[in-house]
Amino acid sequence: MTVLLRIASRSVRKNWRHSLGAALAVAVGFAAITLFDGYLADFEGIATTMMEEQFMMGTVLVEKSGATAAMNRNDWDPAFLLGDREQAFLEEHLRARGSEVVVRVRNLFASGVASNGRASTQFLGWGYDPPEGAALRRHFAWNAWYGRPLQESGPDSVLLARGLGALLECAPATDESPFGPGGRMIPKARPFECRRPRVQLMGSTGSGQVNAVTATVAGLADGGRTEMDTTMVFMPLALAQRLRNTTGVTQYGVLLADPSKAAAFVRELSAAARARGLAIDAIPWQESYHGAGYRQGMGLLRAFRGMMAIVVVAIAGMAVFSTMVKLVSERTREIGTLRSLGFLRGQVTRLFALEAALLSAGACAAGLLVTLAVTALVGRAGITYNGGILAAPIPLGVALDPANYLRAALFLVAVAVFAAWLPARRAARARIPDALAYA
Amino acid sequence: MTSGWRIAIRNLGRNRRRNLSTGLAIALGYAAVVLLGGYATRIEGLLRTTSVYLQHVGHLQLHKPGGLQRAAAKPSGYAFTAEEQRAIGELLSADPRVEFTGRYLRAGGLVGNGCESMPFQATGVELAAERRILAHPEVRRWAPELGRPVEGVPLADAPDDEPAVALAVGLARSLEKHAGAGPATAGALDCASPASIAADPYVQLAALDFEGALDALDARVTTLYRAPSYDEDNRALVTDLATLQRLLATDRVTSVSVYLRDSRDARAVAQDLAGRLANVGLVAELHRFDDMEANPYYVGTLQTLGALVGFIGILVVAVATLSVLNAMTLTILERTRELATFRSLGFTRGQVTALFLREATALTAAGVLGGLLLGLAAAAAVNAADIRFEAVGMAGTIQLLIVPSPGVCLAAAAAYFPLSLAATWVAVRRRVGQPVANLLTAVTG
Repeated sequence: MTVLLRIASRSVRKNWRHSLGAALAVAVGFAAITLFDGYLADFEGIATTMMEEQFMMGTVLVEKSGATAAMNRNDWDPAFLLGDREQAFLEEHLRARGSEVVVRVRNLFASGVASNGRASTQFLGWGYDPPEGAALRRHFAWNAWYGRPLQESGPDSVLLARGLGALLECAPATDESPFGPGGRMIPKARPFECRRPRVQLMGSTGSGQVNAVTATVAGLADGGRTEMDTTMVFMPLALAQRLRNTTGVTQYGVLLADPSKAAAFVRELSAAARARGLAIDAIPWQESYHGAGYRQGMGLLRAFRGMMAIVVVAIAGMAVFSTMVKLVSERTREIGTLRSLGFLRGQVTRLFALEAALLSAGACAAGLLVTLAVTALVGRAGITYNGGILAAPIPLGVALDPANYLRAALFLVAVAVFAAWLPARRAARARIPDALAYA
Repeated sequence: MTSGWRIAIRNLGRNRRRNLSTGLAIALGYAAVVLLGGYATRIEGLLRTTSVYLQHVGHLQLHKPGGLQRAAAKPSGYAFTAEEQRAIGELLSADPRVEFTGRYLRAGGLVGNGCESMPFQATGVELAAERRILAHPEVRRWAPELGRPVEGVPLADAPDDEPAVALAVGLARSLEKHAGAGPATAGALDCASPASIAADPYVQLAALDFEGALDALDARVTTLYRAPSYDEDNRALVTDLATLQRLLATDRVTSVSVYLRDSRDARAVAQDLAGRLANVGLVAELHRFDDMEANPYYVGTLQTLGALVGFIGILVVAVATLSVLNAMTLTILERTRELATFRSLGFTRGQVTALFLREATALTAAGVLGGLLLGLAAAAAVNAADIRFEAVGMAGTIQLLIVPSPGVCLAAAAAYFPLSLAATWVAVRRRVGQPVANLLTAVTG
């Protein structure tokens, strides 16, 4: 093998000019695949953090059985709320697993009409436990772009999404950006003004009666999706429960200390609930009603990535194939010599496969340099883009992923070896006198 | 055909396997660009048509100043009077680039089924404009499914003897209503029975009118339709302009949408219209359909999609170009002595280079043609397979359609030829520049 490796590496060096185009194609193919995968990983990381922390989904969502299916069909029937019995069970279960659970947040959704007495518009209310919500949000604990977050405000305070704030005549009273240089929000009460600081929220209760509560606007926040930005109201859970006249909650968001144990946690919780005769589902947020946009977006990006990878690998593979056909044909007499010296057919085939492997490994190394340079450039450029359905711009980034680089390199090397093996096998089968007499 | 081209094409046949492989690389790359461009064209067409026509954004939208942002919460504060509507109508009807216009009133309130109520966002539409929209070739081409009612008859065809309303499917589901239920049920509704609620053909609409009083009216559910956006599907309803004006006790409208014969005229028409509005002393803000503020989903999605398709397209073309560079490098090495023979017969360096460039041109042309056929065949196969998927932010599923765009095909071909020729020139230049004696004695395969 050492002899073969020496011959192969010498041949690659000797014939580098012949192989330059193929090597460049492999290098660009490697860079294309790893950059796109890096972008996907970065985007997935941003979306996951946004959902798990900023929007308080945690690692696992716990809800009444069938709640996600009901929400998907816009059915907000109170029958799908977790009642007192289910909540008592969950509190007990989560307390018993205190070492696994970082924090849990109870959520209740409500909808209706918000009015400041001069203007009125629809709202979607998100009630949650303010202190626990802040703990779950971690880096996003301070979520008020202007004003103060709920955990630092009174019990009847609400945060309006920025678009809804504009509709209800609340606006920032400063040009100061809420974000620091790293894109993180600066935890500071930035001034804002409302023409009328109190809003009335009207909605229907579980029994279909119209109910209303009055709340003070504590600040303005990000509503997530563009369309939600003109409707979202964040409020303390108790206020949402008063509005809907219920003690129920829509779901629990549970943040686990070790997300890799989510499957076991879900299994145990479901089994314990079943044993108590409770109809409760515990699911990763990605599978829930709230994960639909994430699933669709990632699905589309992965489809693009798959198509690009297939085309790029096929073209780069064909370039390697052309090169190896040429090299094998050029070196037919060399093959004859090797065979007459006692080299076996398999060894000759392996020699060319080794050459292709060395060539493509070198090309992948060059591609890796391109990937690292582009990753660094993109990271420093601070580019943001509008994702279409998100209210806030998304920072463009490419994640560093050594495991992915290795996977891509191994795959491209394997493709190159296969492309070399086809002509090499054919040439190695020729009779030695024919190969030696090849013109 | 000149002898130069004849020689070039004949040479392509001399190393069939390599040229086939290179041609295939070009074809595959080109087909990928055709397919990606076809997908982007389809999504652009779908989103443009749904926002411009089905969501009534129009190619241009006129609002009272601040109305685009605030009319949803305070319709009375940002509405055009009847006189202003007339003046705008006259200005627009004088412009031959305008196909038709539509006046819209938008307001929120509560819609009830007799047992429970929920918020709605209503759009009052002119039925004549609605008819033109649903019959419009663009709607039929890009969004035929969304243009058709899911249940019942189109709102524009509903009987006009009583107020009619079209509910978005998600809202109708929440209200447990269907379109085209029979006559009004006698007696009280049984709120515990979904069948009893569904059998009642009416919903109750309640809203604060322009004077601040609470008004309500009954409307018959004649239509269920699929709203293009997911969030809209859960709260939108459409009724005719007169009905919503009656509910809000007004003759005013929130906006006027302008539908153009050619969407590319939007900027020019907006400029002209702004000048003419100023001349008649009418204060209004104008928004184009490709304005981020007026149509964020369309603009944002296209920006993202454009960046993705552009990135992938550039990479695919780059790899295919390198494949040409590779093939031409091998070819020139193989034919070094032939090249020397040409030179010794008196061919200039330029003539020899031109011969290889002709070969590359012919190879690229064959690859592009093959790629076009491959792309068109793949697009036809995908379209025939009737694959459906959930598009981000859209309600329900849409068919995966690939609509190859002549513009994208031409642009990709225009990018391919110079790149391919440049790659060939890079491969040939150094070898051609060498002395003839060296070329004649060069040891190559």
